[in-house]
Amino acid sequence: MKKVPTLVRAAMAFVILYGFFAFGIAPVTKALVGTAAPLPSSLVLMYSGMSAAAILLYVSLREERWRDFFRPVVRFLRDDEPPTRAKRFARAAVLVLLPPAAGAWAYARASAPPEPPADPPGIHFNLPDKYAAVENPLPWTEDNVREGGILYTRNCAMCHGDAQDGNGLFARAWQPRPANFRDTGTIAQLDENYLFWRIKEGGPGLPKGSIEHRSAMPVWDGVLTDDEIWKIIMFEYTSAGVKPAKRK
Amino acid sequence: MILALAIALAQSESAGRDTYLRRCAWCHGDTGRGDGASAAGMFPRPRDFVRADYRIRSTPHGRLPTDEDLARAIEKGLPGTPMPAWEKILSRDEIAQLVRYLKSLSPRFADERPTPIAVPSGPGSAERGRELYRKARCTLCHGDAGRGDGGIATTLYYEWGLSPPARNLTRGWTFKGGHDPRDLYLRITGGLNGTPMGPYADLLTDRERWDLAHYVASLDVEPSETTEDFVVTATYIDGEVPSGHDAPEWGKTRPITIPLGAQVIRDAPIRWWSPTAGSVTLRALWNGREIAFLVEWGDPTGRGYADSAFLQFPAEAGTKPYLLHGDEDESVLRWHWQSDLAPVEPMGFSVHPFWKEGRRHVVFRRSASGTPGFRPDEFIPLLVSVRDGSNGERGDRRALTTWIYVRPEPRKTFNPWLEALACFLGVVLLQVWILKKVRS
Repeated sequence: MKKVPTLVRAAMAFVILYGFFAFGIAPVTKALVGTAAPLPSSLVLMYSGMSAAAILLYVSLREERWRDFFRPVVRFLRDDEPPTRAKRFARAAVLVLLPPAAGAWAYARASAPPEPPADPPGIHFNLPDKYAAVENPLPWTEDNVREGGILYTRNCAMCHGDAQDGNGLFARAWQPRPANFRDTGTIAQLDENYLFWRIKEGGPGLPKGSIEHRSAMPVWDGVLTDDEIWKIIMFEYTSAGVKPAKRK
Repeated sequence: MILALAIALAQSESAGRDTYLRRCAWCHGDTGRGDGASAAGMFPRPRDFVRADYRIRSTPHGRLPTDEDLARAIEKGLPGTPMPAWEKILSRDEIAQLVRYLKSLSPRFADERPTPIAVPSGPGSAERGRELYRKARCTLCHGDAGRGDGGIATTLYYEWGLSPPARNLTRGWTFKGGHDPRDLYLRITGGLNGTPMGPYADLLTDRERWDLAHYVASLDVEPSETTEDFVVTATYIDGEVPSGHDAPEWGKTRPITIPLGAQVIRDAPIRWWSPTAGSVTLRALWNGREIAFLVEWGDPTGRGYADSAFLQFPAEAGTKPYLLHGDEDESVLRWHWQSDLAPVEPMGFSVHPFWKEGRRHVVFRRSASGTPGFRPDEFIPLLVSVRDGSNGERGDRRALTTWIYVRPEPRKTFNPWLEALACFLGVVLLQVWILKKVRS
């Protein structure tokens, strides 16, 4: 069997690592903890940079491997035997196209405005301990769901929408946008006590340094009673046609 | 046979009733009187299906809507109102059953046969329509520029005793029945039942109404989707930053329009569901020493009411205070303009307000140093809120944006083409060096 060139092996290792950082983290975290938590692009860049450095370090450890690493490049540029037309053409294309491509990249970089500081990503935060053991004390009766519906349309629908799709009248003003309860990625992955926390404490109840300063979710503690909040939660699940994670 | 048909009809009606109670009754009420649990805080109010005075119809004034009219309102929803589009949630059958159920709520549907108005085809002339817009006195309510600021706009009322603002025609995305010329032709011809907007079927010819519909469609100039990149770039200019809203310098910067939400965050003294303004347009200019913001928003009533605009920033650089007022740990500072007050505190900024044809323009101007300090390429958090006094907006009754950013643009000292050239030459030299090394 012919040995795979070092350059190709190194490139493959890099592609695999990059692919994992960019696309692999989300499914893995989803399988492990139930919610997908993809890496932000800045971390993907940092980790793949570190991977590239590690690969180069490995390659340069042995002189022979180092030379082998560059051999395809050297062979491409040097003619130890008379070159074929295809090789000549490919070499000319690379040498001619590379400088303008680099120029275009530099132009795009220089004329693009800087990106605003990004808030840490994530919709689902860890449930605070004091809510871990909280349970919905009310039964899922038609009356409770109905009362929840009345409270929902009065208090929540202007942002979360009368169709529970996160498309209320004021939804487009907020960042992050109000949750779409019909999306399988929101309340269907969560439990009633998690919603209870989010409704009771609203934006200011989120961890410091996350998005607590810009979440438009009000604090309902002191405005709605605990029973009213539970009824709203039961209505949201019922009307959106999804079930709490634990009750599935 | 007839019996089977009657049973099938009754079943479909009861299925419609089930869907109605599950999805619609919250706002429209269990009996369809438009008095559901959440109706009180809503504007416009949910439709009363028993009175059946439907606004959005393809039929003449005072008539009932067709089945297609009702189905369209359910499928597509009513833009600019809380009525959502149900087409992705309810099946066609469910919507058809709902239509049948809604019709069963008013006995009128049993006797009357609504027939749709024929809509002309072919091109309409917005140019001729412009003449008709004045001649037919549309300006009295809708204003000269169509911003709902006509001379009698504040005296309008309709049968519920609510005073409906005349429609701002520059915001097509808030038209309940759509904003293409066909929809507008139907509204002009048949009017809106139960409102001051009467039918023009007898006052203008078919052709004139078709031309007018094209003119009204051409007034729809406000962007329907507000931009998602919430960054106001303060463009660098040489010379003085302007104080006037109409200074030519404003043409040098790109305006961005940002959606406003109602103040639903604080409960005390009251949450607010019905702000006048739906979006705000922002521009910023600076010259390294001074910065100016031009804030514009729709406000149909110009005089006689205490209108306000606030620009607010974190009180301390690098902090991220809570929306609206911050909290105990991290507070905000505000630049406040109010139409009937001189600036409350000497904040070191100047304000230059202007109102015309249903649109407020306020320029805030201040030194770029101080708190907050504006420096090139630094992102400063900014939150904008406005109050319309004629709509009873005071205190926290207002419309606001989320936290956005303002970024003062650096003075352009280099040309991106120079960087491109440097990179190009660098790569050429590198190639030559590598080739030499490889071939030696």
